[in-house]
Amino acid sequence: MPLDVIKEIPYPNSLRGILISLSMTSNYSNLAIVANRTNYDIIDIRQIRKIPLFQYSPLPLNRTKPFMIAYKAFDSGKEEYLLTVKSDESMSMAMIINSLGDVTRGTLSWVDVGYPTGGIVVKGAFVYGIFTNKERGTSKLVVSSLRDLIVISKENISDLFADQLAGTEDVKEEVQEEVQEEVHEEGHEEVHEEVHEEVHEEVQEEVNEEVHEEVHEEVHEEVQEEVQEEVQEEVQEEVQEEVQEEVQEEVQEEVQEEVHEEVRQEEPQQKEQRPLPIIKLGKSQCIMAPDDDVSQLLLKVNLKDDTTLVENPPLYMVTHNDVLTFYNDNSIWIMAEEDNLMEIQSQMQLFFDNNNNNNLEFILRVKNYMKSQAVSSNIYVYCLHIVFLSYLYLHNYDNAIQIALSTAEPSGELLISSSLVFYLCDIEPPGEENALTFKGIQTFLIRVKGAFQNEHFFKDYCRAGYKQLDYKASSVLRFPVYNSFHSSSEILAFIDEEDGHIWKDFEKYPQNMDIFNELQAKSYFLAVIYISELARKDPMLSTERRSFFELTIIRTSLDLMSTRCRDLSMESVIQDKKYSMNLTQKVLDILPELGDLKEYLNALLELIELSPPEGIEFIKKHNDPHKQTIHKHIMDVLALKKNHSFDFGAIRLEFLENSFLEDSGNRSLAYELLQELTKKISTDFDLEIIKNNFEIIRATFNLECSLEYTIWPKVGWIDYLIIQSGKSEISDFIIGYVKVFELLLITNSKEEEGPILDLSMFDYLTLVSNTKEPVSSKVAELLQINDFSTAEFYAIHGTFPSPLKPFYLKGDSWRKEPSPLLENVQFNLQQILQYYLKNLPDQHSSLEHTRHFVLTYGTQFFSPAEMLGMLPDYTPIAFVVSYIDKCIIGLNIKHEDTSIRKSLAKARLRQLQQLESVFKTSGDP
Amino acid sequence: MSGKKKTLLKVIILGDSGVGKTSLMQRFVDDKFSQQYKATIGADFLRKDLTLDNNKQVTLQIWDTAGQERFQSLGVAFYRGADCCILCFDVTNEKSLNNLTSWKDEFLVQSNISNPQDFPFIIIGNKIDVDDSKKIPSLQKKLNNIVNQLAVNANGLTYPVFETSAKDAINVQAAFEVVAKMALQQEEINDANANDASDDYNDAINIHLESEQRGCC
Repeated sequence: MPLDVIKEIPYPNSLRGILISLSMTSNYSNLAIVANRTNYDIIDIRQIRKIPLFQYSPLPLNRTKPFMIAYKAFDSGKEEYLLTVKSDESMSMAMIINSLGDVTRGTLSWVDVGYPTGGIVVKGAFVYGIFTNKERGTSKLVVSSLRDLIVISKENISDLFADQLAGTEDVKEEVQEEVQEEVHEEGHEEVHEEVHEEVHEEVQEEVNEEVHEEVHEEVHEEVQEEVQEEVQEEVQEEVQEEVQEEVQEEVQEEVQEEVHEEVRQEEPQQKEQRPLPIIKLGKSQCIMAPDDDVSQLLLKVNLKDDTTLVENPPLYMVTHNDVLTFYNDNSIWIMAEEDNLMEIQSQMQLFFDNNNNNNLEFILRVKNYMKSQAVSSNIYVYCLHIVFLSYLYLHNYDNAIQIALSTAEPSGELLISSSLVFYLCDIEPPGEENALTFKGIQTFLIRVKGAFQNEHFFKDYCRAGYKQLDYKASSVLRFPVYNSFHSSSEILAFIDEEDGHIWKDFEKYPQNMDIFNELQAKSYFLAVIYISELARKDPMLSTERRSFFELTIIRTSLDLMSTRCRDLSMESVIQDKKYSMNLTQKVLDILPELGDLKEYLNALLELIELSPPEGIEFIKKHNDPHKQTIHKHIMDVLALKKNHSFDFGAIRLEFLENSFLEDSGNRSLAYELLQELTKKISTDFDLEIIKNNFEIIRATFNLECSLEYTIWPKVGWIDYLIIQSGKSEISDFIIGYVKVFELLLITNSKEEEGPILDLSMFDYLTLVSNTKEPVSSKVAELLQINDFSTAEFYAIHGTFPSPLKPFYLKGDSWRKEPSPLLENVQFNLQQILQYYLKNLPDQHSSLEHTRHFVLTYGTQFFSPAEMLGMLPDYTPIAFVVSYIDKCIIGLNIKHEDTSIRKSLAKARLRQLQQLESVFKTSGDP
Repeated sequence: MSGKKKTLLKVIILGDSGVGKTSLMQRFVDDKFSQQYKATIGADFLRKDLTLDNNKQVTLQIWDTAGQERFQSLGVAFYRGADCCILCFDVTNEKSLNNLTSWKDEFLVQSNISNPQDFPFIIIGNKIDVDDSKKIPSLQKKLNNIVNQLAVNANGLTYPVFETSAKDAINVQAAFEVVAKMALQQEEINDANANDASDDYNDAINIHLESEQRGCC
């Protein structure tokens, strides 16, 4: 694929550069560390700008080769960059920076070794550099510690590779023979890794650069440009020699001794005590990549004496996959660390075989070994597994959990897969991910699994993991955590401490619904309610799911209240007082939100049955029009039930009354209320007491409103009752009576049957309700019971007047004008006047009532002649003077009105005549 | 969950070679003193946690730099992001006192401090344990002169001066506590300013402009 130049950035005298990792913050992902002849800089490729770092070479002409090594820090795991700086010919140093160009560590200094012209690599906490000394013709491998910023080892390359580099053709042949003999003698099993060492080295003067490109990760092509005059004295000779195992053993013993010392002291390693990494690397295996034929061709021969020129080719080093590779122009050496893992593996076998092994020495040894490994490397993770299994085997579960929850930085992923723990605990892991583990621990897994008895381990592991890890890593543990609970109270406590935020964000975590269903299935009802309440707080919750949780809260609460279901934690949770578990209140809180009317009806009905006062109070407070029908239905249902102690009749009446007051035009509601009230006043009182008191009131009324008293206006029976109610023992009854009266007026319709009022004290109400009786007849009856005001009203209006202080008949509409449709008003009134005249005890009284009648109805309903004709002969004219005055005024007004009309008519006629004559005279057609 | 996050304060110690910068740092951080002189190469830093009067917890990251001139070109790398700078001199070495101004200027030039006139410096005269006879004659007077020179263009600030002995642990703790307070104050100012500027590279150079100025590369 062709490459295109998309951006050209001017950077004079540039020598080399490396891109800063793209894994960095996006702002800085287009950064490169570059070097020109003297300085290091950071180039921001996106914004085309330069961030100056520092000078690395004192003199531009020195042609110091800049090294920029990117690596992941052994301790922080973050990417760092080691930049070499040449101070003078004998001294150099390395600056360590991050992607922002900030120095993250102190300087690493190399005194008296010059500059690492042979290359430099960072491996773990160590920096390996090849320093060449042109004057002395030697090269040194200098190992420095990034941890302590000191040089911990300086080795001459020639010494390090003496066995490989030194020697002559003769030596080579001898060694080859020896090796072959040893191989035959010791057999193939022992040869193992040493097989590599049978490889022989060839001296080659030239190096194929393409080989380099394959080996290098870094751009090391420029290495070739550097001139290294140092050549290892004996490099050109081929050598094969087996590495002395004795030396190794000695080294290992030394290392182990020092490790033990460290463990004992449990102190940071002293700089002086740190083992030399180059020695610690142990066996150095020399793998040559010879091409004998080519080597022979490329050998330099002195033409004068025909001697072969011994050249010291420059030596370089690179690292790849934890292997240090040194090479010169014709050879490659790979220095691989002999891993102590194999030894640890065999020690582990012993550890497991020894059933009584309770000491932690082995674990400490493994841990110590892990310190030398990069965190998250395969070996480190493998060792972590070993430690974990060892702790488990020792039944040291706390430590095992701690190890099992080790995470990689910065990803936060578990280094020991939870699937492994699931496997060990014989629990089906959630999800279908492959449970991979190391082959090396497979046999131990089986043994640990067999010895695994602590049932709390898994529970503790899951809980600790869920608490400690971020959600991504711990989500797999969430289901098991909830599965591990044995009561709602445990779940509530856990949610409160750890998991509340997850439930409040219900929609975000798909696992939530599964866990919820599981808890519901396990009858952890209080937990179900609590979670439902938390889930409702999720603003992203769908309407459907919100309804689901509302219904769940209500149903579960009612189930618990009715003891249809039980939660064993109920008592402890209520005693705890930490959680509000007032189930009635929960239902009351959610009910208004419930959209499904059927569910609403059922829930409310059950709530009222289980907790009547709260239920009734709820209905009173939430009597909105949409729910009225439901509330009424509930009342109907409950009123029919007689097996409860609560007075649902009274409640229903109150409810009906409130409903009617809010919807006074609703005739059916009025009729229903009438029925209830009638029933109430007919049955709910002690009738004997009522009768007695009522008769007294009625007798008093008869007396006070008799015609013996000539004062007008007289109070009507209903208003009289209202007045009496305040001071009567039967005030409740009277109020009910008056309300029935009003409702009878409201429901006065032939379509509906009137209430059954068969007691004599209800005669008045029966009279009201009887719509078929003629007006005159009703008037007569009203006169009989001395309800004269009402009789007069009825005679004119054909209906009863509303009380002066009505309960239901608000407004003036009930104080009507005379009905224009009513016939025989004159007759009705005459009937009343005749009654007054007939039943009056004396003439004086007669005259007073006559005057009231004449003044009230004379002018409106009768002509003066009719009125005067109705009056008894003994009526003095003085009693009706005012009436006659009103009549005369009325006649005058009528006369004047007639005169005006006549005048106007005459004037109009004259105008018309004039107009006619005008038309005639004008002659127009 | 972890508690309150500590504030990391970067402090730079500058001064001539041999004035005792490393000793001061080691005395303060590790409470140790070594008689043996070893010149610092490049720079190194140590950390120390401190709790200030207001119960504020801070971590001082103290950078001990090389006093030798040949390492000064590296300064820009170390100085970036500094919250306070200690200018150190030897009370027995007048030249080290006179060089304080150069050190300050060098620091301000290389560190790209946005408000150099407000940047906190502290002056430490080390080695007061030595005989008076060896000390700089009329030290106080000369010190005052230098302090006055340093305070020029410093917004009327007077830099605190401490006379210390890393060897005998005199005044070291007190000096660094003042350093911590000043650094914290500076850090808070930096944080406030950081809200306005989202770029970590305040010393970036526009390459276009640079190349234009220089002509063709």
